[in-house]
Amino acid sequence: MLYLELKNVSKNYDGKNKIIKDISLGIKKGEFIVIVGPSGCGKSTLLRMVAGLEDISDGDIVIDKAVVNNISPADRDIAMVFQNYALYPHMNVLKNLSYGLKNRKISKDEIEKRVVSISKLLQIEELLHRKPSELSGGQKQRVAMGRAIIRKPKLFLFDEPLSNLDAKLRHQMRIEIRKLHDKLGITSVYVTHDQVEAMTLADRIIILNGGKIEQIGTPKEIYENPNSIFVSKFMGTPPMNIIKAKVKNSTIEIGDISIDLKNSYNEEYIHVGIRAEDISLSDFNNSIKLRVDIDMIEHLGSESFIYSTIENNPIIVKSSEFIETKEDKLDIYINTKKLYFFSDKEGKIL
Amino acid sequence: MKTKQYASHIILVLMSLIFLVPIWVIFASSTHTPETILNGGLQFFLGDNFLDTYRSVLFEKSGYTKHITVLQMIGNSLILALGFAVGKVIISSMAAYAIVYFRFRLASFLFWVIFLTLLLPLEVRIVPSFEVLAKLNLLNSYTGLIVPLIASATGTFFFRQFYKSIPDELLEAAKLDGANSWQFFIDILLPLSKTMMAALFIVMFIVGWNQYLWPIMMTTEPEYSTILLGIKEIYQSNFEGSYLPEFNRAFAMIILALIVPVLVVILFQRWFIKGLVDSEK
Amino acid sequence: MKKVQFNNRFIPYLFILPQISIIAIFFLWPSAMAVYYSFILEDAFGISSEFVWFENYKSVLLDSDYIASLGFTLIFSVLVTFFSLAIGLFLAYKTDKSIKQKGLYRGLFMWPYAIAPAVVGLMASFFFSQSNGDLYNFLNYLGWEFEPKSDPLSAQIMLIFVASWKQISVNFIFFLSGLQAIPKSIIEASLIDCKSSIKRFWTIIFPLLSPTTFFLLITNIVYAFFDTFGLIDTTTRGAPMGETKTLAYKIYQDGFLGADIGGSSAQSVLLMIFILVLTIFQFKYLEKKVHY
Repeated sequence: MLYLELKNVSKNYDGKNKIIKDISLGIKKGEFIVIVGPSGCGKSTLLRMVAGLEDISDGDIVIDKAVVNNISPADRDIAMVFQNYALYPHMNVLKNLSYGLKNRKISKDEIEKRVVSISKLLQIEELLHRKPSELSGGQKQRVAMGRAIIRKPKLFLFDEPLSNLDAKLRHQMRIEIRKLHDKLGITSVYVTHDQVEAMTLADRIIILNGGKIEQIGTPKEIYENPNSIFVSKFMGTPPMNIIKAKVKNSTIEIGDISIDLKNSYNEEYIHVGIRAEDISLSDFNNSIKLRVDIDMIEHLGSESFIYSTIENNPIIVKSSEFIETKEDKLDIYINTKKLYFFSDKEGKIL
Repeated sequence: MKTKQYASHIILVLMSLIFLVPIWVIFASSTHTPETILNGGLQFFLGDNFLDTYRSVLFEKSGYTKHITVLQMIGNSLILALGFAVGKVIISSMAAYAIVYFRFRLASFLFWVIFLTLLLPLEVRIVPSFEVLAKLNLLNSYTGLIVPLIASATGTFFFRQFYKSIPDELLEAAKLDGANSWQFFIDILLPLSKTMMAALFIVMFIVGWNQYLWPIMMTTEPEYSTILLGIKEIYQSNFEGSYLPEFNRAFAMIILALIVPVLVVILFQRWFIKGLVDSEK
Repeated sequence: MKKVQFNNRFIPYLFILPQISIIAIFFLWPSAMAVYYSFILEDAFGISSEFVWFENYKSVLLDSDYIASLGFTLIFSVLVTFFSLAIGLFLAYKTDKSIKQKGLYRGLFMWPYAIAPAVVGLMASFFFSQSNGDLYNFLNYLGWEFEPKSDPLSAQIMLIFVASWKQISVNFIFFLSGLQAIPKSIIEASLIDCKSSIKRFWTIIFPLLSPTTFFLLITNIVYAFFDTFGLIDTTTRGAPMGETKTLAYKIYQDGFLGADIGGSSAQSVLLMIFILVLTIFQFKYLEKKVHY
């Protein structure tokens, strides 16, 4: 049973300049969906179209079986958390929380009941009589969430809600948002450019690129089976290593080694992907040896990153050892079972 | 370093005296008898005629027609300044709201109509403005005194600039909270504009108080005289008239005409500067 | 405009209506009349009138009185703008530098803004009066035959002095807030890079103030053209023989006192064109944003 459905949705300004190109997707009730993509990919626009803050140029948006294309934002029964929180600066926390309920003519008793339970849930009871200017970033974030939750909406929309917080707080709030979702079970759509947020929060991830869906899947699927170079490089830190290699009679050559391809392939070049953690510094089963040039080594304490190149292709190797070497060459061993092959022209998985 | 700083301070103090001394001399002279001034010129030290002069100026009917006291003139100036400032704040905050927050067909046309008012100050269209007022039967009325002055665009631009600085998300949040355009204006925008309104009010109060040509043109009956009209009469009786100048009364009038706006500027300094600087962007 | 707006056919008109109707009645209507009158010639008694095309403009532009007034207005506004800008900037710069007394000096230089030009004019009339005016006596004591009532140059210099005196405070306020808006880090960087404070001022601070300066340039010109009306009306009134008449004051004298409606309307329209040019110039220039 789909709860939120986008059917061939497009967005353009004045007939040209297409920002969203024919997107279709379905979201189940209670799911936590994260839309992720680089800046300018249209992810915020898509979210705001769901909210009704942007018009739809083409297609339908369906919430809970009803087409909402022409329904005003207030009547779509959705709530949204904004990047800059958008708290009303002249109202205290209590009034910020209850403003939307008042406009919906909900009784005073009910409003009070909800304020009490929400402020308890979010631990903002002490802040109720403060103005937004007297709150810290994390507190503002909580109030913004409270203002959304208190309405008991059908759909919960987040527009990069954590990007104004520092790294530590962002991590903490991330966990709280996921906990809150598990507790309340409200269907949520969350927009971010941060792939870590996407991996940790989502039931399913939608990767958007240039106004089109690049891939949809659970974090595990996306990480293990990226279907394009774009996805493979976008998800995961460090990004997947991609080596451009020449194809010769269904074998490819990298440096002085060659690898057999399972299927024949009739383009001149192919892109070979390997994740940093699938490269080792010592020999193991199914591995092949590559000799690379070391550019730099970065020590993070628990692990080291070796930045190297082979035939002008950068390769990052992750190691749990503290690497110290005076050499400028290094032998690395890559797991042939964990190789990804992408087409040269379109960058799609083969 | 030190001597340089002292030099700076000396220059600044001397310059401030250039502004202060004339006002002081006028005030000090106003506390002397007319005979002292006639014989000895302007006075630097206080005299002992302060109460007499100011009491008679404030409470005795004066002017050509002896129909109005200066106190009543100050009252008229207050009505003009307050009415002008209040009207300006209300009308321009509303017009700017329409321009910034609505998409409607005539928006840019009406914006240019408002902009047009900056092109033609009252001074250069004074004769036809007078005729329009006469046709509408608004000569010698507070409406005629105040309303035509509100037409200009300065306040509208001021609020437009401020509204544009308010983040878009606030409107979006309000929309999701179910606020309509009227509720957004009353519940969100007006409370947010409080400081800006106060700032514009202060500046417009002073502009209104200091209106000179318009009140002169359109009031012929003395009961609508403002204090600035009194200033014009003083000029005429002292420099063009044939009867004996009453210097002390003239000086007292000058002090009374400037004391209100000067106090307003000094007391509400922060708002005043904000209103002045922001309205001209 | 805003990315997000309300879509409503009716309500925006409700909000904009009060201002638009006031503008229509008290601005557009009289302005249109001024344009109309500028093409009309009335006889001396106002009984008959005749459409004369550009006759009024022609006689205005050929009138030596008008040319003299134009000349005076230009010189007057250039000098008043220059003096009040320069002194306002100087005072603002010095005030901004004195940390402790900043508030005091700001107060001391700000308040003259509140005095009406007509009041300033009346005060000046007393100080420069030939019967016991202190400044009159002082200037003559110095050996200058200062006679504003009969000598045009004296009267003009007096007006320029008084009009500048009145305008310094506005420039001071704007320059001071412009100076305060310059980021501290830029000032600190310039302190490291440049030893001479005069050089720092002209190479760093003054260029950064250019938007303010440009804006004030326009404001001061408009002030000298129009807002000095009250000041002239309580000092020279154009005396001795019309040598101290600005264009705005001439329009008033010709139209209201002289009842030459056609001629004064033509002058109004000419002035309107002048402001239009000034405004277009301002917008063109602001588009370039001047250093920001």
